[in-house]
Amino acid sequence: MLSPYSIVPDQTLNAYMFFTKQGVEYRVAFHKTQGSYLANCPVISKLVNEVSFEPVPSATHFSHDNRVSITIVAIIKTALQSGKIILFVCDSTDNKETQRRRLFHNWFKKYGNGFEKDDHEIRTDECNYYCSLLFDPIRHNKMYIKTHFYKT
Amino acid sequence: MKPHPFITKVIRYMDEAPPLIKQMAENKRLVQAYLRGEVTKEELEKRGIELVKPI
Repeated sequence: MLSPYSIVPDQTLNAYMFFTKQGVEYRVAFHKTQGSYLANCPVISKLVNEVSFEPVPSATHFSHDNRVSITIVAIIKTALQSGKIILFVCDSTDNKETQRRRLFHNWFKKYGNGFEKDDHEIRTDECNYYCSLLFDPIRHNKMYIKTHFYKT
Repeated sequence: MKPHPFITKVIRYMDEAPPLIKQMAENKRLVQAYLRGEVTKEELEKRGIELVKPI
């Protein structure tokens, strides 16, 4: 059974770091959504954090490493278990948003047992926007969050 | 019984994405640039992006 890499919280960078066996550094950060998301329910809104992660320097070609996804999921799960609601937006700068959405979806299907994921796709002529809201249904009222998420 | 992830999905077709969604995508790009070391924390703060301290 694969285990997550050792995670180091960096209080200066305000991010979590880990190194793969190939020596690649990954950084994972959460940022506040400034109350703009789910703004009509402030109690929930202040619990929403958006997650981002990047290899440093930016990836060109790395061999596949399942422990990277396991480690990123472990960091996200810790946030979910602390009561946070996590928003994941797929980056579309390089037109690979659909691949990112699929990858994130597969990670969640594999490792997201017990958590709730609500996907929201906005399809426009310009590009598609994919965002997902993740939360722990034991800690939050599922119907309340879902209703407000779709209204936003 | 082992709990399963529960996934729901909504698709909306629009002429243009709402400004909030565009802003979220832009903020995400900035945070990723910050993680790569291309943008400073001060620049993020100027744009109103506040990072969460790690636990």
